[in-house]
Amino acid sequence: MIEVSQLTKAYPGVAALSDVSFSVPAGSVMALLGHNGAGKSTTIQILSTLVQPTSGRAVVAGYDVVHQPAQVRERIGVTGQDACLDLLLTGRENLVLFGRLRGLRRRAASRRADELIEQFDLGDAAGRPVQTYSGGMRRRIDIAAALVAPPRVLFLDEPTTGLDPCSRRQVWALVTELAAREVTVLLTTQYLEEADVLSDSIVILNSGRVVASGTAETLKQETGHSYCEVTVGHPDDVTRLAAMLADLDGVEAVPANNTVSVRAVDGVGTLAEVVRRTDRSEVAVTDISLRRPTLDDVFLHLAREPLAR
Amino acid sequence: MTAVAALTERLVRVALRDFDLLIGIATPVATLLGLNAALRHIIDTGTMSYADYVLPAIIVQAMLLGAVTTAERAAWEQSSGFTIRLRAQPVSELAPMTARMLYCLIRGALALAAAVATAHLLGFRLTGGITNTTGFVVLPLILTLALSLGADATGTWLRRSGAGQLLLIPQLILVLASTGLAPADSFPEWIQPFVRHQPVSQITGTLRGLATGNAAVSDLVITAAWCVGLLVALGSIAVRMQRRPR
Amino acid sequence: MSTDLPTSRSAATASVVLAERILTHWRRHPLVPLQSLLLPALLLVTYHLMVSRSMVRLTGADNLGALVSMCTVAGAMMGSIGAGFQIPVDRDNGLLGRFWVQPVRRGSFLAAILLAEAARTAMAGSLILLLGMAFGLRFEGGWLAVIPFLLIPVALIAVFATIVTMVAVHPRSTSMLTVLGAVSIGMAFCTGGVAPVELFPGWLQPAIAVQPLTHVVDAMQALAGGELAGKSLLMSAAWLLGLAVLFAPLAARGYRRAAESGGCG
Repeated sequence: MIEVSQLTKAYPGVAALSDVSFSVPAGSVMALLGHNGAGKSTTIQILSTLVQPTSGRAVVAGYDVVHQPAQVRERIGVTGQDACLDLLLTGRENLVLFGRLRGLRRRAASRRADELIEQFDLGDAAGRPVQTYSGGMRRRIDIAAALVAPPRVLFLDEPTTGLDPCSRRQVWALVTELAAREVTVLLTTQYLEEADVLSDSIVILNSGRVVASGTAETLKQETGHSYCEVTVGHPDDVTRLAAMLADLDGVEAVPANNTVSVRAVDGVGTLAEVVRRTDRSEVAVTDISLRRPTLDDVFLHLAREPLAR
Repeated sequence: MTAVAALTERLVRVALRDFDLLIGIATPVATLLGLNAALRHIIDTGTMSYADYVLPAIIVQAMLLGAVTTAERAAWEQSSGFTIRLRAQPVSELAPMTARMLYCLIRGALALAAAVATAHLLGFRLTGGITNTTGFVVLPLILTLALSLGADATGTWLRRSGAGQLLLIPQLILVLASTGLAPADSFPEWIQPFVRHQPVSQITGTLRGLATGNAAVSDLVITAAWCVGLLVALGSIAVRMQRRPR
Repeated sequence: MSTDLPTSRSAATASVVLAERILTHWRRHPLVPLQSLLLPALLLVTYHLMVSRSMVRLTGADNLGALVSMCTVAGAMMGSIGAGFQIPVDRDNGLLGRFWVQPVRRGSFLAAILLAEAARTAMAGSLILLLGMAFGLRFEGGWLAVIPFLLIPVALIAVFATIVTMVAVHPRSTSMLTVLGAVSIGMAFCTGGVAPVELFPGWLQPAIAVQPLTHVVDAMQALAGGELAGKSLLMSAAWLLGLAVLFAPLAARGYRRAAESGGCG
């Protein structure tokens, strides 16, 4: 549904995007991860036809964003980092406005607005100016406005930034439901948990370049294995325990944390072996656990600091 | 005291960036030249040249417009949270308003100087001697301070931009329907009483007198009373507006 | 979810929808309509009271036709400037960016501004004309001349609003709009509305004779007085056409850039 190939965007003095390529199959959810300024918003801006790329090609819903922007616009919905709404109009009026801009007639737009107000649970507030809304409510109207005419592709730029956990869950539920209805969703986020939970595939951007892509699972595996971590009671025991486990793969003693870690090549099997040996050693142990790599590790490894130039 | 100085300096910097000082100076100059060019041959001002006649009105107009921009400034500072944030600092709660008033006086003084300089080019001379000239300079400054305090209170209270625009309406009426731009008998009979006695007519009449050295004492006293009275009344309202808990 | 796309829409519909949005703004926050109606009305009344006697004494006529025309023009232009201040607000809000990615024709955005401005100018112009007639203006032109009398300021504002938009979408719009306002008012007052042009100083008269607003005011005044307005109309049309051709593309380009920079995504 979205095909991006060698997309580049250069501003004077800044290469916002360099040679970015990825594709998003229809009906799936992809997350763009990256630090601030990595190029996530620029990508969305290009794909939503707001900005033209310097070079490269992007096809959304079957149409080229540069040469057929009108057709692209008819099939997409977009929300920005901040809710881009008319603050002086009421929530309902905003929805009717965008409905009519999408070609609905006045009454149809009105009915659609009512549907969305009901769906997003905005009943009381819909008649008040958006200026008076809280952040969560604004975000809800924002997303509703993007859905007024059911799009084939939905772009969400950091949709849950600044929301309380409850509102965040609501947005997640919405995205999952949309994906179930064959809407293709491309979202950007800084929340790793969000990318992990929501997306079928992830692309990590750093300073305008793709540094990794794949599913959450493959990314975690590529970056690191699970490992067993043993926390001992006495600092002196660290070296003693490390010696006992020395023949295992990837043993690392961290005296500062009172821990010894072992790469879990066999997963739970390695854990069992470590427990047996630790037991035999009669070292006082306060904690043994099997730690899986998190997307945090992936992110810290690949995306947190901008690439050195 | 340094807080006020810092805040005033900030206002001046912002004004330079937004051309406010430039407009403050250019408006009286352009209006004087324009009105002189347009109405010189139309309005009969007797023995006095039209430029000499109309200068006090230009000055009063400049003071009124300065007040209008003060209202906008006060409204912005209140609505943007700037003032509220300052309350968390060890700064007197009157400091922002004091800074705005200082800026207003600076703007007013510059406008006054520009107007007088332009009039000088058109043949105007201050012939009243030291005391009268001092009065000619001090009176408008008191007026601008008084009006700005009122405008500041209005802007702070309304808290939205456009506050100043509302004040343009009374200002337009007061200046145009006064003896500032034309003597009273230019107007139709039925409106002459209003024209003669309204405050702008009083003030411009007194300023004209001070410029030539023959201001009637009674006029002077009434005008001074107006200006000082406004200063006290509007000043206390403005101070109370700043002290209101939010 | 249904993938039916809405039936095709014309550029006219989108322009009307966006113009209605502007009109709703004005209804809720009537600052702009007040500027373009109340201020010129007050100016008309007070200025007329101040100079009519002197004017009659000097020229035999009270110049009210020219004054009414000038007040309409000045008020409409100030209203456009006031309306222009909303554009940077919409830009910084990301709203322009969001509009840009809607499936509407690119020309709709500017067209909407012009529609709203035209409506406001026509209404304010009618009311100021009525006010002038209450003060003794006799509209010699008859009913047939009222339509062109109101259409001229509408055409002027259509072009002026394009210029205002071009300035308003610029990053430094606030100060530039204020300057544009000051210059426009100055030009509006250097016309036959304040006083017959012959009464202006000699060195100023050539400049006045040439500037576009003089022709606009002259044309309106002629229509009000029942005279032929041919030359002034032609000159006004020529000026407005030239300015439109020059500034419309600049305004359109500026709008696109403002939409991109304001973001929304």
